[in-house]
Amino acid sequence: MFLLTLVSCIKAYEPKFKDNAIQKFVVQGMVNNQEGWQYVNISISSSLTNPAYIPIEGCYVEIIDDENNKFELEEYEKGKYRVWMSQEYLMIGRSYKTRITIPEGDILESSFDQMPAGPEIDNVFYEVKDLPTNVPDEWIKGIQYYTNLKANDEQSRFYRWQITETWEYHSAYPKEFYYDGEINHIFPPDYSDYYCWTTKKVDEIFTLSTNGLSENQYNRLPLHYVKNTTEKLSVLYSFMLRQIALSESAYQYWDQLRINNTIGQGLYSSQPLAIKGNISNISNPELEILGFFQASSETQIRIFTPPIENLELDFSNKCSPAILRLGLTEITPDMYPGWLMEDRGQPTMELMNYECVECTLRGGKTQKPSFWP
Amino acid sequence: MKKLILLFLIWAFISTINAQNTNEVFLNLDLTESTFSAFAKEVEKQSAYHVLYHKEWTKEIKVSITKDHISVLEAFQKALLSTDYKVSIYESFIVILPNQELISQLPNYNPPETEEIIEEPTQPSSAFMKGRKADNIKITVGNSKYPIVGRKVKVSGQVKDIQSDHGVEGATVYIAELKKGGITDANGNFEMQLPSGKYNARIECLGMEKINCQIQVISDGKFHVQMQKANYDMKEIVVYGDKQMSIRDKDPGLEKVSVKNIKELPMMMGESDIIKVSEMLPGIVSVGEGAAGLNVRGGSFDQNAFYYNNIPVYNTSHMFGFFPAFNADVIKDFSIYKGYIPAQYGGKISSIFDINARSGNKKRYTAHGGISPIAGNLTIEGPIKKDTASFLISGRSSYSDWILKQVNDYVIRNSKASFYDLTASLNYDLPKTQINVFGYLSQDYFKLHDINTYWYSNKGISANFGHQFNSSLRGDFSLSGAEYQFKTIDNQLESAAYEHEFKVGQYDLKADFHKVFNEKNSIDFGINGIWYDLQRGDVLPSGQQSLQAPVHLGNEKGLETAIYLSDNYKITPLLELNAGFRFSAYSAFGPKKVYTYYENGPRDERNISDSLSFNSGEAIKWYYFPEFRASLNYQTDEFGSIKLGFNQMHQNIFMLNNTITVAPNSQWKLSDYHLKPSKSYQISLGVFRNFPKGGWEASAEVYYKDTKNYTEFKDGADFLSSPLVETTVLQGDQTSYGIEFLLKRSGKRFGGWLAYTYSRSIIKVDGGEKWNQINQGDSYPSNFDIPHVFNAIINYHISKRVTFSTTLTYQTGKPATFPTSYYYIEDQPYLDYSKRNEYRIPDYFRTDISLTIEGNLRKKKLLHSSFIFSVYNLTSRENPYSVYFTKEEGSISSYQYAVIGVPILTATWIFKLGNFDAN
Repeated sequence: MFLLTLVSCIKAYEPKFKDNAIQKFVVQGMVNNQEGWQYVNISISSSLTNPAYIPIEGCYVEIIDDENNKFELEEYEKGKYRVWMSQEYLMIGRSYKTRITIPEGDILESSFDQMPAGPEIDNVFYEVKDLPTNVPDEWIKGIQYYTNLKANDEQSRFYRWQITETWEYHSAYPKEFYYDGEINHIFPPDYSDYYCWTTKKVDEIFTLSTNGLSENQYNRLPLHYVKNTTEKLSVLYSFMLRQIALSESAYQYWDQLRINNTIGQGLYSSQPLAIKGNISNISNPELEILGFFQASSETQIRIFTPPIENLELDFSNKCSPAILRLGLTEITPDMYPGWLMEDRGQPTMELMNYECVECTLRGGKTQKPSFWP
Repeated sequence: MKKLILLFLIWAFISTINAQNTNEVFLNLDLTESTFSAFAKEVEKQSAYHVLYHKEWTKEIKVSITKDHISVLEAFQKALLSTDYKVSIYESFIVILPNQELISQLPNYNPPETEEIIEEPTQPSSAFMKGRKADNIKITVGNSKYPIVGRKVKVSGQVKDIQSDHGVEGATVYIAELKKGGITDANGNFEMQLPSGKYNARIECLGMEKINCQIQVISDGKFHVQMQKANYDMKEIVVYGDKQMSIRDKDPGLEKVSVKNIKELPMMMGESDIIKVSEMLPGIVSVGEGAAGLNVRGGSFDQNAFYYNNIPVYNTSHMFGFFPAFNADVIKDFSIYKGYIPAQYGGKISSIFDINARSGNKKRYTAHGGISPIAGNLTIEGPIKKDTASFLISGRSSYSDWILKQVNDYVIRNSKASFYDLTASLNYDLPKTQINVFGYLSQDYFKLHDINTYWYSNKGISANFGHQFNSSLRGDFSLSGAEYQFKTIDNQLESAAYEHEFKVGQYDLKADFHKVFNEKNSIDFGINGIWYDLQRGDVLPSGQQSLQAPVHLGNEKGLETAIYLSDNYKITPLLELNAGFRFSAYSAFGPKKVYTYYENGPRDERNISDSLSFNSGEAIKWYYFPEFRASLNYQTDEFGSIKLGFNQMHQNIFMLNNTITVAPNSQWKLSDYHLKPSKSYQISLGVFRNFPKGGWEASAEVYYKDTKNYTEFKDGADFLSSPLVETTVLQGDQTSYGIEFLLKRSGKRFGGWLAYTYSRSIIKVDGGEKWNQINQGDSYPSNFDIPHVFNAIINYHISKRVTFSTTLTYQTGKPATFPTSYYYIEDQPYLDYSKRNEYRIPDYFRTDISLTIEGNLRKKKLLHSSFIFSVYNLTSRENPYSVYFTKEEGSISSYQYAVIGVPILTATWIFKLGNFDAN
């Protein structure tokens, strides 16, 4: 509740954990109302000292609806299972569960989750917004995205939003002059490592319950914030917003995950909880299973944001050329090819680091996403 | 800055130690060829000393001294340098004798003998006071015309403070010949049964000059004695009362704290705090800075009853626990019952804090006050009718929230905080009747930028009437009403912004009687009733944009009634038994609509089976509680005793709280149709021993406490979304046990206490099914399960005017829920958490110091000032308040949050009209 009081302080802390953590099965699955692949992922939890995704291969996985239609899933990647379900089996109001037999023989089963109805995404917009910092008169600049929800009484009162962002960014320079014992000139300049795109899931969880509200509506639900200190807004920024209508129990699961990630930072905060999902181990009921199997209806929308006029960017493209005071002999063979700056069609005595010409070194890929304009 | 402060304190410490080697009081003298009597007069003017000498001896002496800052002893040695006279200092007297120093004590002063009851002098006269030092005050009790032979004579009396005219509590009246005595009650009254005859009596009370007198007992009667404050131990840390008190009369688990204790401790932000003093005692803990309230013997905060002159106080702190809601200037003393709780008290499980306010000065008008960096306070008191009626008005207010502007946090810098409290008291004392009307009001406001606004207020009034019906029966009657309310505005989310206002009213009526049959046997009996009126309020949308749907949380009413009888019986001179029985009945009252639920599932809106309607004034469900209380006190010898206590308690009102510590917007809730009152029993055993030679006192106590129907919130409980509290909480068992050690030294220049407690507090909620279990039905430590607590208070009276104090606190870190493993959902890492409170945050350690400097000790002056410099958290340790885990850029980091991570220096100025001893 309170972020800070008086002369408080926050510092990193390394707790001593007990080394008695039991590895638990983790099941995460989802059936949504759109014809297509439906997924169930199965893994086991890992220790705090060695965080890792540990998939479980070779499970027998089914999705079962309340009319006892069964759909067997295939393992398409380690621990990841899917099945194509046609629209006739994906009906609002129908309930679904999953049943899993793991190679060791344990049977894991979720409770039924009823597929709710949800509205189209109403509106997504941003505002340029400065956030305060702990230093007086120093502000974080950036844009805050919001969405509105307009649902009716037939539709779910519980929602989650998931965001996958993609942005285009550029190297500082195309590849043109390089030295590998002699100066080479690529003409026309090589732009193959110049354009990059990065795609990432936003790791925040956005949830909403309109249960306590007078209408099944909500205005200005804050989504994510994009700072001006990243390259995201330099060329073109985009994100896919998935609005997922949930059942009440699925909402409680996600909302508690969200709370666990944000609490503990103030005077009157509550403690994190061991979150209970809807999956149990039929063979060994005392063994807890993490995760949730949900039936949901989903709508999505892609948003593009070009550079913003009244927001000055302040990010580093990681390009810092060095002047060759002693001439080209400074470029030793292990540094080949040494990319040189260009000036009026001629190479200069300035050596660029690779980040100046290879955008992939900043984390992205050179392959243009199919949805990119 | 930190270093500078330390240097200053070290300097102050060293220089005062040097000073006290020669003498404490310094003079500024400019005398040339002056007479000795003029010199003596000057000394008396500049100090509190009285100079005793024979004029004949000194008429030849001429004194020439011109020096600033000369010690009294040195000045006299200089003045008498070429003579045969020697100077001695005894208590507040300077004695000049030919050829010798004073050996033991002053020559006796013989007041005229009195035949009848001594009439107390209305004016303190120095002759009278000096006379009290002598051994042969003679008091005659009864009428010599009607002597009583053959039966014991009932002797009663009152011991009063000569200056304030208040009764002196806890004074012992000891008859040497019979090796027996009595102790005065809160009004200074005592009673004894003696065979007629002549006795030597000793009347003692810590902080007062001892009185020796001869009593001739003839027939039933009474007498008054006036005691004078002893100057030398003005600043003493003492658990109130005579040294022998803990041996003879202290019940197991009873702590009495005088206001001196409170005022001497180092203070955070310069405010004396009775709650903070309590936390230094064994068995009482606070779970960290900013945690309002405290936990007694493993109980939750809502299990403590705070009564301020019979007014129940629901929120005991200002500014989130950083400041006390009680103004220490107005408090006379307070008692904490945490073990054996006498049958007259009930309604709360863990403890009773009985806080007594002073009454106003009946002799003269006076004022005192203080200014600290945050708040200022002023108390005005005086007689309405001399010696009979008095008033006292005290106010305190924060005057600045400048400290918030100093914080490196945008939100805090733009926040506002303020508080104030007011206390008013009217007293009317007749020989047999005492009337007191007392009022209290406190208010707090905190606006956290534009995110949250909190406002809360306690107010109450009580009318208290005490009457001595005859020499063996006394009655105390009290009528009080109190209201606690708060308002929260939460604007964190524009579309879900809400405001909520909550109010609880408690109206108490009680009558307590004390009847003495004989010196061995007395009883207490009485009745009381409490009417609760809760308006849980409405959660309403705040602002134009809010879509918050209004939630009506409903109103609740409840009646708690009780009768009790307890007997105090001395089985043998060394063995004393207190046995009591209290019977109470409670019901919540309509109008109310109560829902019932199907039994084979969770209490949930989906499982409602039926509803019951109760009309206004209709009882919803009665609960009856017979409670037994007993304590056995066996005195092993003159200096030691063993005590055994047993009590049963129950509680009908509790707090809804799901945060780590008590928040200012935590609601209270009455037991009702579904939620049963909590009930508990406690067994305690204590061993007490005095070591009078060094002023030491030691005790060890063990206890075991078991509570049923302890109310605990379910995972993810939200108390604002639904009026049906039974759907968000479960009831289970709470068990606590511990051992407490206390070693204390008082009456000495170097004093204080060391307290160590080992204790546990465990909760188990297991209804047998998944839906009525918490933590899968396994037991878990409560949020205030603090096994090891070590507290030390050390006071060093460097001189009469300078006291150095330090406190040291260590406690095990409070329980917390920590992660146990990682797992991945949608390619994102998440943490799986342990069971409730399986881990602990790092241990807590803090040292505070303070230096109190009294102004000069001149007897006649307009204003006495004192200055208190204190440093809170001297070692600037960042004591974690919580540890939390947060996801950043795809990985998880852990942090600790400390509320206070720097030393906080405060300087406080305290003033009062008159000299330092004036009250």
